[in-house]
Amino acid sequence: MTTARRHAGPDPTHHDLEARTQEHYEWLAAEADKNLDRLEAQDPVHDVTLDDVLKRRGLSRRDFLKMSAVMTATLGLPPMFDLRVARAQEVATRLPVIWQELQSCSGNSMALIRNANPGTDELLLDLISLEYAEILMAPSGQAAEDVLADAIERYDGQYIAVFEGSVPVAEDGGYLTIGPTGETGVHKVEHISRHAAAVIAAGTCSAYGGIPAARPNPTTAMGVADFLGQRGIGTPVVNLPACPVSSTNVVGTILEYAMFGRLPSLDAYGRPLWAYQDRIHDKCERRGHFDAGEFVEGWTDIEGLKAGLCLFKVGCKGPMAYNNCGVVRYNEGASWPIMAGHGCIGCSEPGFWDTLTPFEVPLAGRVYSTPFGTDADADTIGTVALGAAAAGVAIHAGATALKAATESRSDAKKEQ
Amino acid sequence: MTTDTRRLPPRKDAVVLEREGRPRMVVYVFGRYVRAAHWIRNALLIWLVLSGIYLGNPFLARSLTGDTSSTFTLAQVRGWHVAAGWILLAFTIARIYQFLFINERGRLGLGKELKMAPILVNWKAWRDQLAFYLLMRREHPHFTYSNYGPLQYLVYTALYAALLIISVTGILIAAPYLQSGVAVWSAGLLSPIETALGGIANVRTLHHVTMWFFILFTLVHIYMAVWNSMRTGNLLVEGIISGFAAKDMPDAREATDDDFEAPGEPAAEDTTKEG
Repeated sequence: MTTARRHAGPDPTHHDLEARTQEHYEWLAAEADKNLDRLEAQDPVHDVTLDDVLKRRGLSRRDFLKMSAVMTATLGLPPMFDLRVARAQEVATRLPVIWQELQSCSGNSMALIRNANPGTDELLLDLISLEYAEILMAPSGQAAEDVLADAIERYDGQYIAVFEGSVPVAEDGGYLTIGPTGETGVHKVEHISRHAAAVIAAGTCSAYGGIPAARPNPTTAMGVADFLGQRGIGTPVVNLPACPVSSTNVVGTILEYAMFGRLPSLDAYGRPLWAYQDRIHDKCERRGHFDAGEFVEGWTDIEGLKAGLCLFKVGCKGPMAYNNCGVVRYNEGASWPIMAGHGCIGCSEPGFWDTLTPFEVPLAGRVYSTPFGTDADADTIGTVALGAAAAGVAIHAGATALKAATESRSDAKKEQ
Repeated sequence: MTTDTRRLPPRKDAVVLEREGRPRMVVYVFGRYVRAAHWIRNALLIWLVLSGIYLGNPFLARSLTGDTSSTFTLAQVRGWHVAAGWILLAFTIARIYQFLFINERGRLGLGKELKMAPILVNWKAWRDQLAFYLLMRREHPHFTYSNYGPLQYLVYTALYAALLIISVTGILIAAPYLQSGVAVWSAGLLSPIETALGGIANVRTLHHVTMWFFILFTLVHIYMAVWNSMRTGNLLVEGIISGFAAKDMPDAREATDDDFEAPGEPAAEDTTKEG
């Protein structure tokens, strides 16, 4: 096809594709405008405006538009959406959000609020109407519970529920109780999700169960989507795994929801494609060294570490992990694990704690428990099995030789 | 295969050898394709295992001297690993097609080998076969409707299943490294398998573990082939090179179609009796 195009001028199907893409974007833009108009017509749920926030942060409108353009690109949208993303942030004051901690370490909240410089992420945190967030809110005890109950009632069917942490279902959810009445996490998730417009599972624990769900999973921890599926609650869920989830991905998903009134396209594991469709490996700055076969040989290989060689042999799981860390990075784009010199541990993959460990050897070194009491990797088990087979062969061959000797002796006797 | 068939020695002209004190006739059992495919698959598997071990844990030392900007050691090993995998898959598909759809007459139909499946639940066959392997009986059991013993049938079926598993997982692993083409296209079709397995990491693990089946199979297969060939004097190890193996004289017991095929009939394709 390439050669044909080279000789016969522009490929007509290529033009078709371009036209169709343009048409699709225009349709998307119309959708966004319709939804943003609808949202703007609603009363703001709190009295913050974009101008206030910008002034407080010492940002100009120009800075704001630049940040919006970056966000647009991250969402995989063309420049015609720049102003729409900016508008989505302005009307985000109409978007009530409830952030509920479950069986979590609060690391995702921390990652979201610990930004050194004001960016889109933190800006949006100021703008959205965060009705309930244990980490950030002033009230505590019964007062906090009242706020939650009030928010659920007032914005029934309109708010976005963000969950952080896994849902422990063992012992009727008794492993996690929240608030002055000791309400279980199971009950909280059911109640909040049932009345939500959409659910965002922020972080690997709430997406797939994460570390609490690692074998042997004593609390029977599970991801929010799996839990809701089990309980037959049909609220749409978007999974934003990673440990912690990149704030860009949370903000992008909220913005996408504000813009289009629906959740983004998801992959097989419920992750938005705009953030999770590419492998870490394919967007890695050290990828060239991988293909060249140049690896950091171990943590004492100072030369290799200094040269920034590929971290595959010290256990990088980038080839098995899907996320956009290499592009958006963490802490305002400052760095990310592979840039800092440690391999990816695949924290945004389902069951990563069981399937991708040990973290500092390649996947081939994955350890299995054996009936002999010691754990071993596949190659060790295979080598032992090969040795056992070889021993069996030797014994069988020896036995056959003995048998053949007796047989020929008895044959000789018979002939006599 | 018709040229091979014409060289099948008719009963009267069969070369008769004295083996283990008994007269044996030497007949043509492995056609050219069967022999070529056997050794090509063997070579491919050796390369795939060696290169696969490298890809799982790259052991070749790097060069830190001079410019390595145009060095692509791992990418090249991966490329040739994937290429060999596709060739192996082609042979596997041909073999499975033959197994399922080539009948006794060498024509399209219900596979001759597929029809041998009842050997798997023939408990007398199991007992006789295992007794023979455990040196509790001297004569190789004779199965009238199957070229294979039950254990052999089970292991060969498992081998084709393993070849399919390692090919499917291989395609799923290879596809993300490619921009377009048949791997990307077929990985799109196969992606539900990846999802069901719980992600690309488990696909890789399965690919790696399946490799050990081939390594173990090779050891046991070679031993059983040599052992059978020596114990029964059926010349099957020589047969996979020359095509000719020894069979009991048909008149020694009740003659079956397998013992003798008239000229013009296609040769029995894969009468592996080694183990």
